[in-house]
Amino acid sequence: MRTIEEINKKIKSGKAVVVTAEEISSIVKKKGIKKTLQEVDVVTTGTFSPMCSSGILLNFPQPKPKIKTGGGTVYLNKVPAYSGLAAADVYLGASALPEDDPRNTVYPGAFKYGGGHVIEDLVNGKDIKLSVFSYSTRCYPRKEYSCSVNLKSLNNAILLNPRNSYQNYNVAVNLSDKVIYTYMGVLLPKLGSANYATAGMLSPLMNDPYYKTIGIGTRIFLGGGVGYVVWHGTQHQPNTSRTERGIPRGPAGTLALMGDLKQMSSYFLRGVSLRGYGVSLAVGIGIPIPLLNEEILSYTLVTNKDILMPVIDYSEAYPNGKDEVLAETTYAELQSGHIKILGKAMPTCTLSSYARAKEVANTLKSWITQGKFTLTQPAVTIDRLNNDD
Amino acid sequence: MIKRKYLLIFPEETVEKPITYNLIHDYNLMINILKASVTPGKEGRLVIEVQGDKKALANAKLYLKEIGVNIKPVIEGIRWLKERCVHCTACVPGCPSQCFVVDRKTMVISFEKEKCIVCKHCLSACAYGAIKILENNAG
Repeated sequence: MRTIEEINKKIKSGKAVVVTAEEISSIVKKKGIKKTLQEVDVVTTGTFSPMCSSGILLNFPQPKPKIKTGGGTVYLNKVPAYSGLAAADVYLGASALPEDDPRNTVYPGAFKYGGGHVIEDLVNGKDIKLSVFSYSTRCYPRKEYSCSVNLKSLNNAILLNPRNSYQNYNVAVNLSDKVIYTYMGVLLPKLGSANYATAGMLSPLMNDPYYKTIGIGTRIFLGGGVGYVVWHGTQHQPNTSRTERGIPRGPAGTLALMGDLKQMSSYFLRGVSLRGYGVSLAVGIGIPIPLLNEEILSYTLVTNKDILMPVIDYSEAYPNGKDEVLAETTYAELQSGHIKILGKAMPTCTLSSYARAKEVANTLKSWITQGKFTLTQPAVTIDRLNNDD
Repeated sequence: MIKRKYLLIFPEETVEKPITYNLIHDYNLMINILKASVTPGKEGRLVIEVQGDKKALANAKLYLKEIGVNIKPVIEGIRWLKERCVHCTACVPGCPSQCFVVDRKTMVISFEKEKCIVCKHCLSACAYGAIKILENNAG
């Protein structure tokens, strides 16, 4: 047994032993579970992938005279933001598109610029054009306002993502005879490709499958800066079918995350353009798992071979909401570059980056090792969030 | 024997001439058509890989110039912007010439430019803006 306070003492004195979720398995193989638990304090995880349910909460300095944003419309570089909040508060979603974007009028649309790209531009320190159109009140007389804002001039810029870090996901294939364009990427016809997602054994929720250490207030790596888990994410589904070691056999847990955009970097926060689908934001997330006991350590020993993923047809079953799983495959097989399903071999690919996920886990590892990042005790862990006790 | 890639842009009046046939028949060149956009009555574009005798190739180029065909060497039709690439692998399956090679241990991508036939599949597969196309050379 070990507590978070004990781990933090070691972190502050520079003595904490931190390894990544990729490294922990081989250490346990060599030293056994008991010895490893004595020696290692923290396992770091990482993921990097488009996560459409992301966005930023902004507050801009009021002009003179003042303007009321609520009930009006607000644009950032022509991308509409949500303004049904107090004056000067706006929320820009990663998937928002300019009103004049042609969408899929000429199929497949290119979706060159949208919310995710505005977020990337802001993080890169670029100037963004803010336009507000509203109505006049006694306290907020101005009807129109436009100015240039950037990360420095904004009063607040907070990344606030309602659904990130999916625990496991579908493998998308295409049974039809035409190319289809989806949020999982370009799907080649007649089982021409298998498009998967997540960072497998590096994924945060794969290493704490029952959410026993992650909870409200868990301090994390978010987009190159420091963030926090604020709730479970939307569509969080812990009660899915699981393998013996607790790995869900499809999409299950999700996390809602928050962090100061002003600390982040575009290396870990990237606008993406998905052909024929829309825009999004790729987010780098890393969560430290404190090795509090043998059980917690045992969960971090998950390997890519242990992760079963459902193969779903995105030409018919997925769009129509049919629960048809064509086959199951493992993350390890997907990562080899080819899988075979329904008797057919096909190449695999992903829009998630395993290489960058590894960089996230290694960066978090070095922050903790250098004493720059300590762990937090969550107020409530996700597994107990909806319990009354 | 040399091997070169060219983009041929020919004005509408030459579209109906059997240029490829002449290159093969008169200059004994091996022609591999990589990409073609030829519509009668409109400017045509052809990306070819040519293999043959150095002198014959030089003569063939003179012939093409004489009949009004604009010849541009395809140096880099597709550019892979390494610093924008996140190494996700989305470009890998649809590439007919397997230009994008994944080191399966590190999951890091590299681009083997010489294999590229400028089909532009990667341009629609890449979500991160890591593929740029030089329209002049790529046709």
